[in-house]
This record gives sequence, C-alpha cells and structure tokens, in this order.
Amino acid sequence: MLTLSCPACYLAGGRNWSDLFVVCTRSLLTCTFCLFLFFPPPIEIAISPNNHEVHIYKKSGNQWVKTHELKEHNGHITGIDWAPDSNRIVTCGADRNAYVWTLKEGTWKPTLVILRINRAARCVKWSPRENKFAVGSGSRLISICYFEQENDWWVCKHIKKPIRSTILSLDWHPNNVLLAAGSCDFKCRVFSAYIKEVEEKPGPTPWGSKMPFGEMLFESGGSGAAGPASAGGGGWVHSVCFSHSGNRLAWTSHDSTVSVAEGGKTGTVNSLSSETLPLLCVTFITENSLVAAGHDCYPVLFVYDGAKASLTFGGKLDVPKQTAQKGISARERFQNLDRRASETQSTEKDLNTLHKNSISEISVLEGGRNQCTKFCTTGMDGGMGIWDVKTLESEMKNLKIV
Amino acid sequence: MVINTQSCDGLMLGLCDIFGACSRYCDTGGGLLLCCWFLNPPCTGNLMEALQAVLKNPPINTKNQNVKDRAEGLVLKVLSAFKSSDIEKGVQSLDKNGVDLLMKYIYKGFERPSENSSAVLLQWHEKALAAGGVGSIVRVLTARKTV
Repeated sequence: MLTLSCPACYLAGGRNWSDLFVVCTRSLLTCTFCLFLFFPPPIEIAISPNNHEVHIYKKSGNQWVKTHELKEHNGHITGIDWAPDSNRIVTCGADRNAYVWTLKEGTWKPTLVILRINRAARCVKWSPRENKFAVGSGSRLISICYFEQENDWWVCKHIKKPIRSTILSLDWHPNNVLLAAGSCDFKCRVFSAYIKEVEEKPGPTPWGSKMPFGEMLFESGGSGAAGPASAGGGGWVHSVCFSHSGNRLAWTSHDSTVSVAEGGKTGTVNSLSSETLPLLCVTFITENSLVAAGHDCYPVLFVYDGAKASLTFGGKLDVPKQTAQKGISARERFQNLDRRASETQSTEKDLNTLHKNSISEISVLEGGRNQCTKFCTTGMDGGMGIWDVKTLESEMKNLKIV
Repeated sequence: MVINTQSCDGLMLGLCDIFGACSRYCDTGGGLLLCCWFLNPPCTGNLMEALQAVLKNPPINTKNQNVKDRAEGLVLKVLSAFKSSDIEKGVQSLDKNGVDLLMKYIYKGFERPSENSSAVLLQWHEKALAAGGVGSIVRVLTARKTV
C-alpha cells in the first residue's frame, strides 16, 4: 500500500478537476516515482529524473521544494517504492543493485541489498506489510528480499520458473504472500512469495491453497500450455494490478488489450481489445472499475462485470474543455490546404489532453483501491496530474464508476 | 469436394470449409480449405457472405506457406469484388475479431502489391480503421502468429 488517506491534500488553483504539477523540467523518460502521504501533511514525493539519483520533494504551500538527493546508484534508477508505515524507500537500478534507504538524523542512509542478478533490475515493490520487497529484473527472475535479523542484512530468494523473459511489472496481493508479475514473454503470472522466516502460513485464497515459495498459481494465456508456440496474447505485459480484495487481477498488454482474471475461475480471462494505443499502466479504483492510461496520453475507464464476466469500455477521462470555434479566414484556409491538404485545422489531440506525452504510471492517492477518490498519473512529459474521481463523475455524462 | 483454385478466374471465388477432406490444402495445424463454386455477377448479399466465410478459420496455426498464400489470394479477390460504397457495410458486418483479422489481411496484402490491389486495400483500410481504431493496427504489429 502506497498511501494513507490524507484529509488535507488539497489541489492548488488551476482547473477544477485536475492540476498539473511540473516537478522536473528535464523530461522524465521513465517517470519512476511514488507518493507518500503523511499525517499531517507535508506530502513528499521521490522521483528519479532518468539518471542515477533520486530526488525527494516536499510540498510546502503551493510549491514543491527539493529536500534530499539520494546518490548511491551507479546506473539509471528503474524502480522506486516508498513504504509509508516504516518510512523506508527501496530503489533498484540498471546497475543490478537495490538499496533500502532509511531516514536517520535527517538524512537518508542506504543499505545495499545483494540481488544476485546479472542483468538490470527493472521494477520494485514493497509488500503490503513492508517486511519484504520484490524486484523484477532482466535476468528472467524475481528476487524476493527480506531482512534477516541475526546477520543484520537483506537476503534474497529467487523465483525463476517458468519465467522466460524480463519482468516488467509487479504487484502484491493484500495477503502479503502472492505476487503478480507481468513479463516480456507475453504472460501475466501469480506466484507465491511466502517466506517462512518472516511470516506465518497464509490461509487459502481463491488463487490456491497450497503456496510454497516460488509456486506459480496462475498464468495467463492457458494453464501451463506446453511449448513456445502457445497461443498467448501478443504483447509484453506492461502493468499488473490486484484489486483491493485480491480476488481480481488486471493487466495491460502491448497488443492494446486489457484483461481481468478472477481467482479460482481458471480459464475465464476476459480481455478487451481496445481501440487505443497500448496502455502502460492500470489500477483498480473500485472492485469493478479500472483506470488505465498509456501511449494515448489520457486515462480511460473500464468496467468489469463479475456476474457476466465481461469487461467494457467506460469512457475517456480527459475530455478537454471545447475551445470556441474560431472562424477561419480565407487566408488560413489556403494555408491549411497548402500545408495539410485539407481546409480545416487538424485536430491535434495531444494539445488538448493534460499530459503531452505517454502516461507511464498511475497510482491511487486517496481511498485505496476499493473506493478511490483521487488518483495520480505521471507521464513521459515530466508532468504529474492529480485526478479527482467525484469531479470526473460529475463532469462527464454517462460516466459511471460502479 | 475440392477444385484447384488456379482454374478459377474472374468472378469465381472459392469458399468453403470442409474439415479434413483434402491433405493437399490443409495440414494438422488447420488451414482454410478451398473449393470453388460459381458466383453470379456480384450481388451484395453474396458478397457479404463471401466476406464472412473467407474470414472464417484463418490459416494462423499452419506452417504451410502454400495454404497461407492461397487464403490471402482469396481474401484479396473478395475484397476487390466489393463496390466502394459497400465496403463500409462489409466492415460493419464483422465483429471485433473479424475487424482485427481483416486488418491482418490488409497489411499482408500491402506487402505484395499488384496493379490495383493497393488502392482497394487502402479503401478497406480506411473503413477498418474507423471500426477498429489504432488498437487493431497495434494488434497486427504485435501478433505472434500471422495469417
């Protein structure tokens, strides 16, 4: 869980349904960031401007002030996660290392975690109870790291089979044991990351009851279909997300599909082939609704109907205010004809959306994944937008978030 | 009942599925079985059915290049036989998977252009894009098994 609910997180000025905070003037190629809300506010953010450092910004008034710079990595930082309860940050990078940062006497001190991987780390996530974290990497395995008290260091265990390519995204189940992983071998899988040293045996879940470490409980594209030619989805799985209860798993894939699977009902994977460009990130905002965003630069809503087991498109969530149609002078008409072979102004969609480049991350700010009231998107244009669900619902007709 | 499509010309189109009847045109991967019958000079109703039938059972799983080529040739013939004004109706009659499959054939057809094929395919492309969105093109690009 990334967030606690914060009553004083207000938006400063601007449009009434979203606001753009430009946190970094350089373009953030991979907008890795995470949000941390604190009682009482200040709100703090850790971001990496596509280099070896992590910058921590604190919100004071209407401004974002940089408070710390964390420099330890030798390679680009590919994943950051902030554990709100224990106040620790974990970062992983292209230098095949991960560091756990703890705040001591006002500065962040790093602790190296030996991941035993021989390729870059790609993504990292704290577990819900923050006693372990998972790192996905290009070495085709997931490292589950936990703290060993006796030796006072972080130890890691690997989940290898049957992953065949880079792990692109991770998400923990609320029971702290199950982990969903989306990978470049076109599959989304659920593994058990049960570490007996730090937790007791978990109870049975709809995904399975026997959960030894490393056991694969679910695989998209057919259960254990033999051979490399199994008919799977055609794209890398960019993002995975468990619902609040953990019974549903959603993932987006590079072939412009979004899919939802329910635990226990094997074979009922419901995908929706969308008409948009591929979606890069997805999150549940209620048990039945998903918000996803990607290369089209605007978030979209999908609604999953559990009874009918169907996934439908709910609507675009970024309808720009229509600018008044200006009359086109004759001269402009000829200019347009000359430039674009058509007399009308081309509809440049991108200028009208909040984000001017692909949206790479989306996360829930308030309300949790079952009753989200605010969520936040960051994009490759270096900007971060905060969206208020209630205002969206009232602004857009026919938009229903169930 | 199978007749070699090379003996067909002009308005005759081959469409049929009969499973497992002829080993010359299909293999265990499942291919499109071809047979011919005479078609009356283009009557829209028949063309719609022709479109549906030719998009059924695409030779995705087979490794036999021959089958794929014949299937592609057939689809091209059907697409060319449509009148420009009927193309939109043709696309509307397809479901989502059908539109994706049509896009795959359109791009396959672009790969090997003949005299008039590209013009016809571009008209189909415009209508299919309106129906399927850019997502259908992305699915052509990311598909691991092609027609």
